[in-house]
Amino acid sequence: MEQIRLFERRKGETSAKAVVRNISNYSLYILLILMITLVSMVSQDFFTVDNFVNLFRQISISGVAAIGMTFIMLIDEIDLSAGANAALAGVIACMLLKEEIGILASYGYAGILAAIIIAIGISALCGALCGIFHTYLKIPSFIVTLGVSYIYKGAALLLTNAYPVIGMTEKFEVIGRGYIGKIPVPIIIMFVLYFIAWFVLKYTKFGRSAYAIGGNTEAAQLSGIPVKRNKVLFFAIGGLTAGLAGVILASRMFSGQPTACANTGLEAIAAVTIGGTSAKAGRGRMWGTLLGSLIMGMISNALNIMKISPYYQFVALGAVLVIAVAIDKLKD
Amino acid sequence: MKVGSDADYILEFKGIGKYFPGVQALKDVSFTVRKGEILALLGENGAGKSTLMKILAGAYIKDEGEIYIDGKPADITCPEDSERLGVAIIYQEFNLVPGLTVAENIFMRRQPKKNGMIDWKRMNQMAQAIIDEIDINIRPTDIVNTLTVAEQQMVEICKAVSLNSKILIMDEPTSALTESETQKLFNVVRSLNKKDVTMIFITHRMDEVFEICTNTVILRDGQFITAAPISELTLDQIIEYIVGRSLTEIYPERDNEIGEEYLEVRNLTDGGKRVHPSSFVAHKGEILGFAGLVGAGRTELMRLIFGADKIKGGTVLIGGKKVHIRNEKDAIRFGIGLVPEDRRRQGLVLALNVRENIIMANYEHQKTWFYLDPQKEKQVCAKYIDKLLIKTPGQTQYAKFLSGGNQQKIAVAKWLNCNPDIIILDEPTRGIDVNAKYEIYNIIIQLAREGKVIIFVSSELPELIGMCDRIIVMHEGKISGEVTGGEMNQKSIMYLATVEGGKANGAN
Repeated sequence: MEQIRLFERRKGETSAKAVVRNISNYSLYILLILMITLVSMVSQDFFTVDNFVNLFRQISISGVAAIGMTFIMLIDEIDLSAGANAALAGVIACMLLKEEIGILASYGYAGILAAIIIAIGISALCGALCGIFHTYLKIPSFIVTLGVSYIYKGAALLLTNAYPVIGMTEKFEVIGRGYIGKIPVPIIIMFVLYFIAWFVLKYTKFGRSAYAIGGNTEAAQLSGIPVKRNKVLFFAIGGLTAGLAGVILASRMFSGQPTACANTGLEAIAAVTIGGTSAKAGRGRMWGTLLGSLIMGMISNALNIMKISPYYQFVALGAVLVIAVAIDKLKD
Repeated sequence: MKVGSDADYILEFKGIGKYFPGVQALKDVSFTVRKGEILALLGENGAGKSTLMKILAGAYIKDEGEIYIDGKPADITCPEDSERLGVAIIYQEFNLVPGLTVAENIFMRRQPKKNGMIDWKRMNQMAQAIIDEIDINIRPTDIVNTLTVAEQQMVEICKAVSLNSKILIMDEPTSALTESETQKLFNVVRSLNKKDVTMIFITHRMDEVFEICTNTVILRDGQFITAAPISELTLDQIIEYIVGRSLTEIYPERDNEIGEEYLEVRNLTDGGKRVHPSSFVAHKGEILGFAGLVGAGRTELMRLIFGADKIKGGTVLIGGKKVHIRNEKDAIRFGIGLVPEDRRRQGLVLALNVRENIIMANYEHQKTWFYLDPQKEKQVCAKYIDKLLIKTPGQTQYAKFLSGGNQQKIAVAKWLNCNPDIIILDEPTRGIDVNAKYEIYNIIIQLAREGKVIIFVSSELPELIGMCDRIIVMHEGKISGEVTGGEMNQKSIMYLATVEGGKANGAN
């Protein structure tokens, strides 16, 4: 989108201002490098292949949910139901694959694939319904998704009687715990999805319409962009990626917890925000979101390694989120 | 205190400079304003008038130069500074809270208090006193969003009066007013002027400059050009100063040839809400004007043809074939393009760059296999930037940083990129400067010459008369008549636009 220049000074700008603005352009990378350097100095366990594999596996869940969230936030909407949607998808997949009762338990990998498709299909459908409620009945997305998140939560609890679903067919492990070569499957899923999403956002009509819709819905409509249809589809993608995140987590924990993913949705929103997506400024990139997820994950990971109380992690994450947005605002 | 003649200067600008990303908006602007003047600040769009006034009002911070108010250096860094120094500004977009009362808006942040609580009774009395002082017909307890535009403007003036402002700036105050409302505004201006309030008017309407203003200052390209009492200037001189060249002709020569009938609209209606069944035809290569008062239904009729609103009856025929237009996408497929009336709200996505805006309505011929090709996009945009003389530092410049004229050209380029046969332009020259207007006229004629059907909606009659082959007039949602050739004069069009005549003010 933007032309890439390493350092640029605008006409009439003092050099101090230009330095601040240029630094803020790369603030994410600078922050990331700074964190890696600092934590590496403190702990030898940090800058290791094992730890980075671990780190990426940790972020893969909210990272996947953040893909759909990027589209939704690019059109200047929000999805507060991602976490609850993910938990519901995890529960549904597990129930379908529970040995003896699960109808898809005895069909091997084909059954697993079918169960996943059904679970995330339901999630995508739920997302699409939110989109329909939002665009056709003109209910703010904030309200619709907040409302349905309670419905998902209730549905997950009702389906499971509030007990975790366990005893799935063993092969279900592969999604969350498996490896291809030396790389964990969830990391591969995440990167493949980011690559697809990046391509869609940058090189397809559908993806590009997100910027126009977020920047000026009316102008987009008058330019012949199918605004309503695309909005519904963006919400469906949000549901789909949230559902997939839930399935990955359920597989990794090897249990369908109706209350899982409590933080996943908000983490995804934070990752998108830190990643620099801003509808009103016409900005947003998929890799920015991944970077945002990585920064969030790295804070948790680093604090863990340094054996700092996990309660501080929340404080640190919150602070980074607010500071990231503040730097962003200073830029304009 | 300064000595002698300086004492009657209430306001002095010295070497003001202001930079925006990629442009220098003001260059070394210096002039003085005497106490009690009604100053017309004139210039094209992008000349720097609004920027200068926003600096005075504290909305922008100057990069260079000094401002003196009453001979004392004024250090203005925020709107409160300027308010304290007695400067009030009324923007085109009012600064009112629509859901609150008139009194609350007047005394925003300064509500009179009793025992730490807002003293409503006294606030309403104080508001009434100001309303009486400038003699207008509103009540302190009226909710602002129930008032007309003219009345809301009066609330802004009341606010300025309540602040004891010495300098009152008005940015195009009459652009949304009817003739009688304008006269009322001028009466208020004159009475405030008698109380030694200095006024600065930004306006594009020359007749008003001569009617109400005492002095003029003219800016061009961010620089001070001249200042003179209004009595020493003629209209032609002023326009020459504004434009920087003498305008031998306002409208370019037309050499478009009218071809066969192409678009036919039969009894098109939105069910009688804003558009009653309307019928007309348009020909290839013809520039067809649509005149009428504000609210006559011209924009709404165009939106129906373009599929932006739901058609409730009637048919559209293109090239003799009946077409079914359900939405904008259909209209584009049938070769219709609409440049909407409000380019900032409807025409462009200001947060996106020039290139994104130009290709927004049609990605088809940038498509390679199944993805969009950035190289082809660049070529397409370069072509239109060249063809329409769009002044931009580059294709990646954000649309919001361009002047009104260049923004409008981008809105036009977007539609040329769809290669439509029928182009509807709704108020294409509104709020853009004389030079940019001329260029837009040239583009329109060029398109007509290429055999496209041009529908030109405008509220400026001279423009329609100068540019169109034929003009259709609308009144209260109906087509009330059509004029061609020698009949195309202001009088006959106004007659049709008001039907019984004399309704001109009421119909707004």
